[in-house]
Amino acid sequence: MPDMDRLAVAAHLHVLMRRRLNRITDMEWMSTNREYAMAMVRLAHASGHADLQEWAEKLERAWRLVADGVVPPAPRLPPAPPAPPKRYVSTLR
Amino acid sequence: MALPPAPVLVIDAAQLNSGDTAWMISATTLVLLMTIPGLALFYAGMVRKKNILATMAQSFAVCALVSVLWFAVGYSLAFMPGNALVGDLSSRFLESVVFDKAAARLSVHPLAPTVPESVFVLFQLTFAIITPALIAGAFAERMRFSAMLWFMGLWSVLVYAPVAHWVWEPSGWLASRGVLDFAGGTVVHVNAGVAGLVAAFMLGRRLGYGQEPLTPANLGYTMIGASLLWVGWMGFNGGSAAAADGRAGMAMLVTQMGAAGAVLAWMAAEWLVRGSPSLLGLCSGAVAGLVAITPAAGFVSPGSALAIGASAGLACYWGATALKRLLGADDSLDVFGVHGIGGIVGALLTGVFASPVLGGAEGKVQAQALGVLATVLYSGVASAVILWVLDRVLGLRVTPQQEQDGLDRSLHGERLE
Repeated sequence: MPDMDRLAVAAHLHVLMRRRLNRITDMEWMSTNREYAMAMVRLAHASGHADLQEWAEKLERAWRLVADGVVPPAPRLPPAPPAPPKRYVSTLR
Repeated sequence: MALPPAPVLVIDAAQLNSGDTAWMISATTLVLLMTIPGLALFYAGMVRKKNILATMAQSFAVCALVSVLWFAVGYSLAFMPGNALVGDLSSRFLESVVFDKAAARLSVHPLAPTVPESVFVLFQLTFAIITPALIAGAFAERMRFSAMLWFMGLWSVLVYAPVAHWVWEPSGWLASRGVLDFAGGTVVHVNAGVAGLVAAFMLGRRLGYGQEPLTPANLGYTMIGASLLWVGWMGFNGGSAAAADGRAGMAMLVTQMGAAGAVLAWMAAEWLVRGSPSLLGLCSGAVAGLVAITPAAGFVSPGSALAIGASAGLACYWGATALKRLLGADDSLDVFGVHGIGGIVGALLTGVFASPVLGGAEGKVQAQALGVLATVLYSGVASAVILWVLDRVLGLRVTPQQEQDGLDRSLHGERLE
C-alpha cells in the first residue's frame, strides 16, 4: 500500500476518533510512525466502536505491508524547524 | 396609588428629562451588550475548543439568573436606604417601581432623578449581571454548571448588593467616608477580581496546568469580545453620569483615553519582554485600561485618564504574568490580574487625579485605599465561605473525565465541530 493510501486510512481513523472519542490525533504521524500508529490502533480496538475497529484493522494491515517489505517505509521527514517559544503553559498572556 | 418606600419619589411624567431618559436607555443597552455577547466571546476565545460553548453558557445563564434575583431582592438590598451596610427590603420584587400612565405619574430614584426608576433599575441590573459573569473567567474549564449557578446567585445577593450599597447608596458607609467610585472600579472590578482569585484557589488548577500548553481556541472571538466591551464601556461609564450632559461626555472621552493608554502600555511592555506584541495583549490592555478608568471616569481630565490607563496597562501586564506565577493559582483567564489589579490601580489613582472642578469632589487616596481594602476583605472572605459551603453540599468541580472530555460535551451535551 503506497504512502498516500496509508495516509488516507490514517485520516479516516483520525476523523472517527475525533467524533467517537473526542480524541485529537496526528494523522500524518500515524502514517509515518509505526509505534504511534499501533498505539492509536489499540485505542480504537478498546473503544468498542465497530467503525473505529474496522479502520484500525485497515491501518494495522497497511503497516504490516511495510513490515513485510511489500512497501517501503515513509521517507524520513526533514528536521523540524526550531520550536516556537513555549506559550500558554502557566500563563495565558 | 400606593406610596413607594423612601427614598423613591413619585413625580409627574412632565418632570422627567427625555434626553437623559433616552441616553440612559441607550447606555443600558450598551452595558447589556458587554456581557452578552461581549464577555461571552471575550472569554470563549481564550479557553480550549472543547470548552467554548460551556464558557458562553455561563455568561448567558448568569444574565438570566441575576435578572430574576435583582427583581426579587438585589435592587432593594443595593439601592434602598436600610443601614450603612445593606439596603432594606422595601423594594423587594421592585415594589418601589411605579408607573401610572393614566395619571402621568411615575417613580424616580434620587440617584437618577430625571429618568424613570424602571430605567435606573435596569441600568443598575446590567452592572449586577456583568460583575459575577466576570468571575467565571477565573474558574473556566473546570466548574460544575449547577455549582456555578448557585455560587453566582448567592454571590450576587450576599456580596455584590451589599458592596454596591456601601459605595453607591448615599447612606452606605464607604460613600459617607468620601470613597469615589464613578462607575464601579471597586464595586465591580475589585470585587469580581478578588472573588475570582479566591475561586481559582478553591477549585484548584486545571488538569495539565503548568505542564502542557492550554492553548486558546480562537483569539478572534476574544478580539470581537474585547471590542464589544470597549464600545459597551461607553454606556457603562457614560451612563453612570445618569444624565445626557457634559459629565457623561467627559466620562466617555476619558474612557477612550484610558483604554488607549493601556493598550499602548501593555503592547510596549509585552514587546519589550517577549519580543512581540500579541493580539491577546492588545485586547487585555484595552480591558485593563477600561477597568482602571471606571472609578475615575466622572472625576478626571483626559490627560489624567491617559496616565491612569498607561499605569494600568503596565500593572495588569505584571498582574497577569509575574504576579500570577507568584500567586500560583490557576486564575484561568486572569480575572484578578486584569480586573483586580486594574480596579485597585484605578481606585487609588482616582484619589490622586480626581478634580473638584470636573466631578465636584476631591479625591483622597486614603479614602480610596479604605474602599479597596474593605472590598478585598469582604469579597475575599464572603466568596470563600460561599464556595466552601457549596463544595460541601454540591461539589464545585467536574470529574477528571468530564474535564478531559471538555465541558461542552460532558456538561451540556453539545460541541463545536
